[in-house]
Amino acid sequence: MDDLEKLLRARFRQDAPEVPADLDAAIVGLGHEAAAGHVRRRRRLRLVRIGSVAAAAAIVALCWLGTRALDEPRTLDVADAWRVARGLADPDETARLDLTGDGRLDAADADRILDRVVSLRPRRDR
Amino acid sequence: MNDARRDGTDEEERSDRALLDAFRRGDGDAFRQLYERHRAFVLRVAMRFGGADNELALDVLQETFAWLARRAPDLELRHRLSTLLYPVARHLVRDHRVRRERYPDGDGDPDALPSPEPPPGFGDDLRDWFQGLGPLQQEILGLRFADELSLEEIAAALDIPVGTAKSRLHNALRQLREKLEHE
Repeated sequence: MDDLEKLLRARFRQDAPEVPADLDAAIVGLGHEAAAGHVRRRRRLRLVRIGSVAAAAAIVALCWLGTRALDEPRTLDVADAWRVARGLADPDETARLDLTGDGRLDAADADRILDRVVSLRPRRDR
Repeated sequence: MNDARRDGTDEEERSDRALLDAFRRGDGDAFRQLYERHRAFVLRVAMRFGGADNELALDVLQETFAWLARRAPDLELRHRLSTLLYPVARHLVRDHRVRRERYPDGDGDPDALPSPEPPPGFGDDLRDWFQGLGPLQQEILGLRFADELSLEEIAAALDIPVGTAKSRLHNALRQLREKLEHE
């Protein structure tokens, strides 16, 4: 390896984020479940971890309607929530969040959204 | 890195394959070992393509190994597992961009595969050089110097001939050498 390659190796070094212990455990747990033939919980894990539209919608609804606070803010993607908040100006998006179907977004919708998010959590997190 | 490792016939490669086989047979601990072995690699790739976004990198980490858990029965491992995980992680970064583009807060084509960004350790001189390279050369450099993959592994990860990987790497290094000699 010549000096140029040594230089590049040194300069290419980049800090990576520390993986939270619970995420490590969740991913390893995913492998154990898959090895046992159960992979459906992967979907739940992803939805919670990534901050899916449903989870983001819950944050937005909760922030806007002020009904309650979630106890695990780390699992929520604030950037997605902000985008959903902007998306609420879109009638289709609003209709999608209107889970009670009464034509408006209110505390009842927030409760429904929150219930949906909670139901997506891996059991160990409940 | 020794030559045996570089030519893709080393113990680690066999071990990756053995672990994958064990995982297919229902050994969950084999998955854990694969995860711990390749976790840092996936994070590096996600950081490189995702603009050093920590949260995005963690999401991509999870999704990449979720993909592995789901697709393991169908995978054919010819090199180290990292050669299969690389395109997955890169596409996942793109998927995140698509999702963000749905509720846009920036510009850009969400369907385009992301290009690696200059590492934080690059000064202005190296950054100019890096950004003047083509996307494929940039990827090859990252795989070579950040991830320390062999040319064979780089070719496998990028699905290109080994000769292409070698020539693009050689040209990029020649350009940098000439640039540094003139400064």
